[in-house]
Amino acid sequence: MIKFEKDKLLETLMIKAQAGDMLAYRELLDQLSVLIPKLARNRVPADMLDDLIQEVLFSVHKARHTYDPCRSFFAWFCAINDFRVNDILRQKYRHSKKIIKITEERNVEDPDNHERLYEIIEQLPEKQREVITRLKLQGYSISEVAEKMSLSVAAVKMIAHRSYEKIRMLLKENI
Amino acid sequence: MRSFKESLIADLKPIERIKSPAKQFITFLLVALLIIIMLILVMQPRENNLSFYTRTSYLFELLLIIATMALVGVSTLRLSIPGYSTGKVEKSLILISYLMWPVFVFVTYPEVNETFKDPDYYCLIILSLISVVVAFVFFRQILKRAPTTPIWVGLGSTLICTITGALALQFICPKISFFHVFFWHVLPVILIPIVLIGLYKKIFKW
Repeated sequence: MIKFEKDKLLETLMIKAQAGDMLAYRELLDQLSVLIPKLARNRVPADMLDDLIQEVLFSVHKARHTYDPCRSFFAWFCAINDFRVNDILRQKYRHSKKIIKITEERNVEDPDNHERLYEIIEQLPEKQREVITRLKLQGYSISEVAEKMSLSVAAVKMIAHRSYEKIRMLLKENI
Repeated sequence: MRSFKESLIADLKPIERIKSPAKQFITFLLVALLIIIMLILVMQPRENNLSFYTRTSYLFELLLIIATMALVGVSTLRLSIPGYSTGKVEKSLILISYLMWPVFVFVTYPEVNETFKDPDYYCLIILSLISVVVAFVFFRQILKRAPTTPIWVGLGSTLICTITGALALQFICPKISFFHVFFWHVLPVILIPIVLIGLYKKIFKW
């Protein structure tokens, strides 16, 4: 259980971040990155923790205007964290079902490099997959993807960045 | 991870906090009433207005509908802020609101001998149109927040839109038979939010 002083510290950092203080925001993100795995313990597999941390931090970033300093920061943060934990577990479940289906349909025995890459793209979370498909396979620009998916350009860049990291990781695992 | 955090930090700007649920609801209510007034001006009020508007049961029904709007509106807006409360009270209030008006209609419209004759799509169309217009306003308010219980938020949001449509019908539709009011006013208010339940997760995705 988080201590009261810690809640106060995070609260102060968040208030400063809401005002645009980058140093406080960096400190807040660092603190939360440590906190997220602790809160998700026993619920999320270790190999998904990095994804979870990114998802939660991104959600905190998007929802930071909804934090009211009169209320507990921890309650606000836990609600977002739980929401994303459930989200990521749901995605994992759906994804594993999909992979089984694809494998059964294609009956792939010895996939070549292209097929392997396509499979890896298929394994990405829904949003990342959509961004990569539009950017790299369909040839849209970042601003076009942002417009099509109703996201900001910065958000698309972030999602793309995370996708590259994930693809790199999955490729290494495959090798 | 470091570069990801850096991209978030680089995107940081001073932000304006969202309004409290009560203030936000009052803004919505004013807009909704304005839309209803415009509709009445365009379509003309019900023929039996003067004799009807002074009836106690009619006034009570109006108050009940507005109270339902307030309960659902504030509860939904509260639910759409992460960690604002445990959510139990808000969810209970949304459920109670679903039942308040139907029960009232059931109890106070006692003409049980009539039969269900011609279908009256006119009221359903008006109710749906008003709901869609109001939905643009209310859903926009919700989308600016971060709902962590999208199904409940969706149910509440759609209910407030349909109930606003029903409020508009109170000023336009002159029919007072139980069957008409129950089938063409009350049932759509209850059923539309339930029919759309599969869409809420997509609509309120953030």
